[in-house]
Amino acid sequence: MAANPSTGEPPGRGTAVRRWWRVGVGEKGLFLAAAVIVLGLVVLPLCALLVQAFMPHLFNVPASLGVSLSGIKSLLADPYALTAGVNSLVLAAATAVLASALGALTAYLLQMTDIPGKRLLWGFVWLLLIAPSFLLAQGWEILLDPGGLTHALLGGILTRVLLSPAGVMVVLALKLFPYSTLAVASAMDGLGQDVVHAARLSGAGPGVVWRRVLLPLILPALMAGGLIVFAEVLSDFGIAATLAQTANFPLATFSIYTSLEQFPVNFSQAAAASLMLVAAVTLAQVFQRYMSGRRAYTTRWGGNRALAPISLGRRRGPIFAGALLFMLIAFGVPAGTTLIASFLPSGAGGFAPHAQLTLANYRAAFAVSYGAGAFGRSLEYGLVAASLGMAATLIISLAWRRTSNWLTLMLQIFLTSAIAVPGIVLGAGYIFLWNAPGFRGLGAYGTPVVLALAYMAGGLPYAVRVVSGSIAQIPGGAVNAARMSGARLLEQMRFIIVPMLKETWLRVWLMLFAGVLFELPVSQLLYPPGSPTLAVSIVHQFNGQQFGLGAALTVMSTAAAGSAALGVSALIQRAGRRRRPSRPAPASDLTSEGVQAS
Amino acid sequence: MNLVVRDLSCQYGTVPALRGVSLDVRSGEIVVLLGPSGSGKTTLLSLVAGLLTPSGGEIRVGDEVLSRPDFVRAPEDRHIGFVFQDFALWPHMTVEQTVEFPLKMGKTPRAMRRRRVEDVLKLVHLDGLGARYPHELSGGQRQRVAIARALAPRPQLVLLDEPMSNLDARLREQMRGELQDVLRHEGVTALYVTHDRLEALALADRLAIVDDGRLVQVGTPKTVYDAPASVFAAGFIGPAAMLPVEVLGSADGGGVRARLGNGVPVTGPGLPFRHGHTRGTWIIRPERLRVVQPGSAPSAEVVLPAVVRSSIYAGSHWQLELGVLSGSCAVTAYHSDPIARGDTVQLAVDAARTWIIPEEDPRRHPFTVLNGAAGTELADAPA
Ligand SMILES: Nc1ncnc2c1ncn2[C@@H]1O[C@H](COP(=O)(O)OP(=O)(O)OP(=O)(O)O)[C@@H](O)[C@H]1O
Ligand SMILES: [Mg+2]
Repeated sequence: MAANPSTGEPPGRGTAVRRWWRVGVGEKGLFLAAAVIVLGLVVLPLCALLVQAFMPHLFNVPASLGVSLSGIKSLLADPYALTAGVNSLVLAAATAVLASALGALTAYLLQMTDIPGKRLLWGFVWLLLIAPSFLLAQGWEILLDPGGLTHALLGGILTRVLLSPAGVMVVLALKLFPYSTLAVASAMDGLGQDVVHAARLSGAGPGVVWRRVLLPLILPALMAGGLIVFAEVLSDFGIAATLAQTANFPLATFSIYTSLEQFPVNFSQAAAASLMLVAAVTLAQVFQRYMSGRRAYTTRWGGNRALAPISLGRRRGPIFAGALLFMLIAFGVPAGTTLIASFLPSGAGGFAPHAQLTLANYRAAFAVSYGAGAFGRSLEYGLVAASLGMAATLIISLAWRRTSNWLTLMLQIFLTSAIAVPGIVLGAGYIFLWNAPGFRGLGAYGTPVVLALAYMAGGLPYAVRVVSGSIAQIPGGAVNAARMSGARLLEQMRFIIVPMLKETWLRVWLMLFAGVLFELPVSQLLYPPGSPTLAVSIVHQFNGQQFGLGAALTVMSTAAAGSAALGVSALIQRAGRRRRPSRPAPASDLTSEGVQAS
Repeated sequence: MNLVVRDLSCQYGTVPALRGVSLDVRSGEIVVLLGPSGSGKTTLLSLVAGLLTPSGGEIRVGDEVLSRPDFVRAPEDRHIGFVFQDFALWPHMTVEQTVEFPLKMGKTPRAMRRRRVEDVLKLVHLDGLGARYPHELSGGQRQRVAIARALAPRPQLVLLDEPMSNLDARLREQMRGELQDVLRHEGVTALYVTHDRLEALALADRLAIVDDGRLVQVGTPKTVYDAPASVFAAGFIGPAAMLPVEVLGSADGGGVRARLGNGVPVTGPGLPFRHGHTRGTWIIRPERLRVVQPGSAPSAEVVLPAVVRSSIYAGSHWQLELGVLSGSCAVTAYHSDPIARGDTVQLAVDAARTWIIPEEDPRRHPFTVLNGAAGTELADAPA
């Protein structure tokens, strides 16, 4: 039927407006804002780096578009960079093996046996997972203080053991094995009793069940966990810049850092090294996804009933004691030495015999130019970058929920893969971008602004992943119902989306805040001259043998992060209490109501 | 306010979901969209609501254009109430806050908001439950909240997308009456989607039958039931036997003259006969069929021999499935007693209250399936 002529105003077919703008100006603005944020914060810096690797003269004064492999060539000709690269790969492989063994063992004990104190042991696993690697490494380094008790007792043995490639590997493995524990434990969690029963009924003894049934089901998870560790070692800067450097064991991330700190900078070589690193990490992550994907599929076998825990019998006590001792070494030693050293006279350091406990280090932390200022600054950076990052995350997640076209898809893929970019490479990208013609003139390089932007960029990929996941769980009806009630974009955010996901916001904010507070590689590259951040300052104190001062700063910042965490969890609890069901509601009811499972 | 939909079409990618729909809903009228799953009912509602963008056509409410090829008004500016199939309540808002929300968005002053929320909650029998969260309500109460939210700002139009489908059968029956009262009380114009034909017949001022993205027929429930515009509409609105006939011409007093396959002549009302029509379908509702003793039927009625295939107990009656025309067609009839399977009976048809649709080829429609589906529905509702 044709348009009714009696209604006046014939449909004007001339104006061809793209459909997605038509639904309202708000959509368009949101979409553009999201694109600008992702492009500016993440895409451009990394592209600047990519371009530098292959067009070394693009940013020269007479710019040249010439493509050359000179960056890669000079990288391969640089013995220091080459050694660092090989060291990193070997270290990553060895650490992955050791961490997998530790992870498999802890996962087995925690998931499949009746070991006591599971909550306590899991607590240690999580503490290790979130602890920044450079803090753990420095906890270990305190033991090496020549004026300390351990040095007096063990002489140089500990120094020789710890300050070696093997020592670096052990410290890394003790920090990273929880990744393997988590992967393997979740695979074991997926094993059902029926798998074992079926094998037993077919006449297999316990040994055969393990070898032929359970191990093959767990193996993919073990591999995936190992690959995560591998990628983490390659991207790690915290230990590369502290323990490994003290041990004269150059690693890839640190060599990128030094190449950017020397003068004149060979930008194209640094860019090439960064690209190689990103490629290696990405490869490991892609492979890990593949392994995890297969695992998810395989472990569907097994029935609904979980495996009955294996009884440890009379060995329960001793095994628990062993596991606890292990955790105490992995977390307790670095944490304990740091705490104690913070109360011991600076300079004596370590477990000095007959030393008096003192607060001098804390007083000094507020007095020294590299101390108090750094602490306050990092708190500010944390508050600002976490809050702005949260807002950016909200904009991006919302825009991507609303509109999907080729540009959002591209940006989505880019941001997802940016998770594989080590901090040091992101920082390098920021140096390249903000020194590029056009950006250099803005005069932002070397100011807190660029550092704050880089902090936001570093947290963005994780934050967007978490928040998009939660937003996807808001049923479309909830937002549509708000629109039908007359709520505009901002009102939909303010009254529906933000309050519905209150807990997610708080968690993500905390994650971003703590991430900034302890961030090392980006800070190290980008802090404004004379205004170091907390992590930079802590590393500086340790490198200057000011163990007490460094430890005091560490304790202070950990306390700050801890109280932020407590505050946030109190807020979450309060939010949860208000709408807790007064009578039990069936799970299916809750999902149809759209209560997000968080 | 009246709703005008002109030549509306919509596609998902390249798949057309709506192909040129035109519909008028008068002010204060309840029009029910009835159609099978995937026919485009939700799509039509979403287009009117503005949650989807049409690929062609026009939508107006009153004098206001909501959507034209070069212009689409955002859903938040349409002042239309929407009751979602899953209610779409907000888990973090109480009943009061939920119902108040559209008024708040509409910048209604606080005192007026309070009063209106109170009134609407009373109207849907939720007074006293204002402080509850959705998870503290029963399914029926949640549905009332959804209705209250849609009605609170006195929208010019209310859209309801299968609002009863999440309720159990008894609650649905109760809510049907209540909902009609509420809609009438508010005097709103409503477009109501369902695929429950009993709900449709009970609620509708007019019915719009949708099939495959098109409107097949729009009319009062009685018109659609007694004088369906197509074999599809006939089958969808209720159980019916559909017997193939040879169409002979129009009857003297209007109506159609036809002949069954076994040579028995049939004359009855139907769609207008046009030159060239040769085939047709004879639509017989079960209540127009009676099992009679041989020779006892009035001469005005057509008598068909039929073989009983099954007798199903339906509470108030027995539902007989029979084969007629040498078993080539299935027929449903109601009877006070069961009849043994395999017995041959005489069926009298009140031909003046049947319907003949010329030309349509009945083989295109799997009417036995339609019959079966309708039959099961009838079993739990007294005819
Ligand atoms: N998002 C979508 N993408 C692609 N096709 C869709 C989408 N939504 C609906 N369709 C298709 O459009 C057609 C009409 O769908 P619609 O939801 O309007 O049906 P409906 O009549 O409401 O069905 P039901 O009674 O099952 O709710 C269907 O064929 C459906 O498969
Ligand atoms: Mg639908």
